[in-house]
Amino acid sequence: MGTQSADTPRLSSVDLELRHIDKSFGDVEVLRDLSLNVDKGELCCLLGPSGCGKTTALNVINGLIEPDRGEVWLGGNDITHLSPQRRNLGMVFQSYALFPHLNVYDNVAYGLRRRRWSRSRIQPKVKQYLDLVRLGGYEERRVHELSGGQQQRIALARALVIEPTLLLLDEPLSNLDARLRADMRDEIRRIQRMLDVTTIYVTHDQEEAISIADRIMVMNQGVIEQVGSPREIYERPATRFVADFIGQVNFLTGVISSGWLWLMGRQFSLPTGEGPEGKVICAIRPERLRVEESGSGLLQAQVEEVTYFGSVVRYRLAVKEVVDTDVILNVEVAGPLASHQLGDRVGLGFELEDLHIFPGGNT
Amino acid sequence: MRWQKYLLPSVIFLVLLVFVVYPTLSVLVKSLSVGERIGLDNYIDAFTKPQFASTIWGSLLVAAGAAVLSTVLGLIISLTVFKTTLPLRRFFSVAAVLPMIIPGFVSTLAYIFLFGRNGLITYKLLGVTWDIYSWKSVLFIQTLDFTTITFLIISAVMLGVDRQVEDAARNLGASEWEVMKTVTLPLIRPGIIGALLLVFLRSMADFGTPLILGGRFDTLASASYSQLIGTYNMGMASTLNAILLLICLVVFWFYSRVQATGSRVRLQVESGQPREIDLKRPLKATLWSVCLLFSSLVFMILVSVFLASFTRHLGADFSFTLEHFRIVPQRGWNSIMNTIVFASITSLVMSLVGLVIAYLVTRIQFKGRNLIDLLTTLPFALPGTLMGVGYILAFNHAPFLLTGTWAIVIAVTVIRELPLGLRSGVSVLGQQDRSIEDASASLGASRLSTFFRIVMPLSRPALVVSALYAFVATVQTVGAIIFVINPSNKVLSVDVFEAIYRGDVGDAAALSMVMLLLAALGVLAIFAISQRGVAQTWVHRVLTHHASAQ
Repeated sequence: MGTQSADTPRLSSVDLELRHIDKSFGDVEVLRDLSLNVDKGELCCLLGPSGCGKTTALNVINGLIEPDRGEVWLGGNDITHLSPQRRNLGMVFQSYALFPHLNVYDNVAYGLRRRRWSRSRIQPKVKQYLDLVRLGGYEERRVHELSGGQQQRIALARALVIEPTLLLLDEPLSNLDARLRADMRDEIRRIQRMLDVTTIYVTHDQEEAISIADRIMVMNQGVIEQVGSPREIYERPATRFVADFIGQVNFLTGVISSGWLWLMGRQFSLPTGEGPEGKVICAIRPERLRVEESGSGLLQAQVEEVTYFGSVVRYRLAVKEVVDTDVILNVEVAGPLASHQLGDRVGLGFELEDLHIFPGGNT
Repeated sequence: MRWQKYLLPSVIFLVLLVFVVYPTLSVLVKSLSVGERIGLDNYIDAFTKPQFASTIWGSLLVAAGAAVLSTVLGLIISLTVFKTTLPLRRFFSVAAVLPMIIPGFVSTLAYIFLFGRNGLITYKLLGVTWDIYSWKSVLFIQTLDFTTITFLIISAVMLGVDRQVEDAARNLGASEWEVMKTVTLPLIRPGIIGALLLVFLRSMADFGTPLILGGRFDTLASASYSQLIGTYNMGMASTLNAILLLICLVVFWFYSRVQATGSRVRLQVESGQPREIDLKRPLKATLWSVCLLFSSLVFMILVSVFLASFTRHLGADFSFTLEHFRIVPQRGWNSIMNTIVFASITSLVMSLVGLVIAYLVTRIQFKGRNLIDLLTTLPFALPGTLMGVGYILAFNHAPFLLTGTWAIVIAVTVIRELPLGLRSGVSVLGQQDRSIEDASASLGASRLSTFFRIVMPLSRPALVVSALYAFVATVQTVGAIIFVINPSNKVLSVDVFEAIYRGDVGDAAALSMVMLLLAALGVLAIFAISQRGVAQTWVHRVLTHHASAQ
């Protein structure tokens, strides 16, 4: 981000590492041998469906939950058994958790008062951070008078004013409506870059994660399935779960035998020594399928449904030549290029390298 | 068609006028009449004659004391039960709600049994004789009794505090003590203030405990009872009640303001089990000891009532006997049947009428609906003695000659429970999606059939719970009922009260065992229902209201 005013602090943030964390609640294993690391100044998304353990992981980091096993390292120090009070982490809660009995100023000043700062030091600091979240002048407001987006900003200012070494965000946008969500997302990214604060961002929304993160960690059932840049995660999903969870995807069953892939009644040559043998699941993104004139392409299909989204048009195609049943594929085409109607016969093509192959049985 | 809209509200308004406004006004008029003329003579007497003037101060001081002590106790038990992991928490919470089935005047029985002149502990164990009949005993029993109210109110507010808010404080560097001081306690402050005011109100209105345990100490309520029953000085009884009413209305006004602000700062409801606060050891030890002491006392009281009913002669002969239970089938049978019938009718009528009024004031626009709301709620603030005296004055001559009939008993119990019925009705209707009723109307249903086919079935869990509470409350009430009852339609609670007042401790204990059983059945039914889904949310809500309405 371009201009940075002279008085904007850059927080002296640090890196974080979780080592082999286990955590169970009763019989339920929530985290299993969880290890991850976040670099200094990085915005890292912990992405996964609800109940995958991401909030528990966050609470292990901020000290509200003690892990059964494993270590939490922050900036080279083992903080596994440090109380949350002494960790100096900034946290934005899903419900914002603003103090309903305090006004905006007192909410933001709360952490500084606990640090026994003098009034004369607190005042400019609070002002600085309220300005940062663009809510200067709101000091005397009661929190329940504010809109959801404003409450969110106050929660952010309150977490940042203590100049934490690490910022934790738990589903920060889930209580906002769609339009505000995009604005707030950009706002969070702007502030995070400006302060250069190491950030862990928990979300179940893959679009949000892809658009904001430096790096994404996809979590499922207490385990991290894949770590990578948004592009890597989207274009090279490591597991079937990741392929399915991030973006739209078509799944097809196929068989690999001695270098050949059998798929939809066709035979494809695979680069040697790659991939599993036997039954496989192939995944391909809708925008990686090519709609061609009837007669050309690898496969022949019929348009069963056309859904108009504006920027893109999604076709639902039935591939007719398969032995037992029709294979249904979703295809996305840029809006201006889409010209096919319901019932049209079309050709279908794709590049073999866009096919992600996972071992396994049925789709 | 316009007149039809006003038909039902008008009927309800007239009923409230007759059974709430008219008796209250009768008391005020009586207090101002001296013989045939109007004058302030009674008030001058009340404020200048030492025997009355001292009761005003006495009532205020004991009520303030009971309010502060039971609120502190309620807060301590709530904190221990919901904010620590100390042992015996379940035991403490059971002990805290147990007084619900033991009305204050029954506790006095156990108190005399244990600590009285010939008490089991004071006389038999310690060999001391002392005069227990003083304001201190009244304060003691009221504090124990009203801690149920404070515990329920404070814990309800405490459970409503979003645990993430406390976590946020920890995260920002607040120590556990600071979390409690700067977040938890300020957030539950509306509950604490509400509890204080409510106990003050209940203590002011309680005439049983001071009458039995006060000795020469009198409160406004107990003095008005003695003036009426003892010396039949109707004028002075009315005056004392009028003064009492003024104080109660002022307190009630503050209480409704606290309730209103409390609901404006809406806290997250049902945030799950609150997180404990890891306080320093000495503090935790203190909290826990207080809870243990309180719980032991409550259970001792329950056990003593039980023992007293099997003890031959208190103070002289502590041997076992079943003799007292002979009274149950003899003199008690009629009262038991009356109690069951009255309590059942009351709970049924109160929950239905409560829902109807709630429907009127929340769903239908008509002039005067705020007035109907106010008049229905008012008995919540009216002391039982005032209503009793008012009913005697209002209904022992034409046009409403009802004295001595069972109808007047039902009227008084229904009117006293109606505020609870209205509140739970308003609250259940507030939760119901109005568009369901609109849907019913758009499908061609009339208002009436929408009410019976849509509104009532959807409100059933809340109705059942509040009806059961009204049953429990009516079984135990002496408040206003004692003034309108006559020998042909006696009820259990009044029998027990009179037996205690006479000093027939054994008989009283035997009868109260039956009464405890009835109340306990009601409470158990409530808890059994509360295990089943929807009703659960209503239990706490009604519980807190019930405790305050009793």
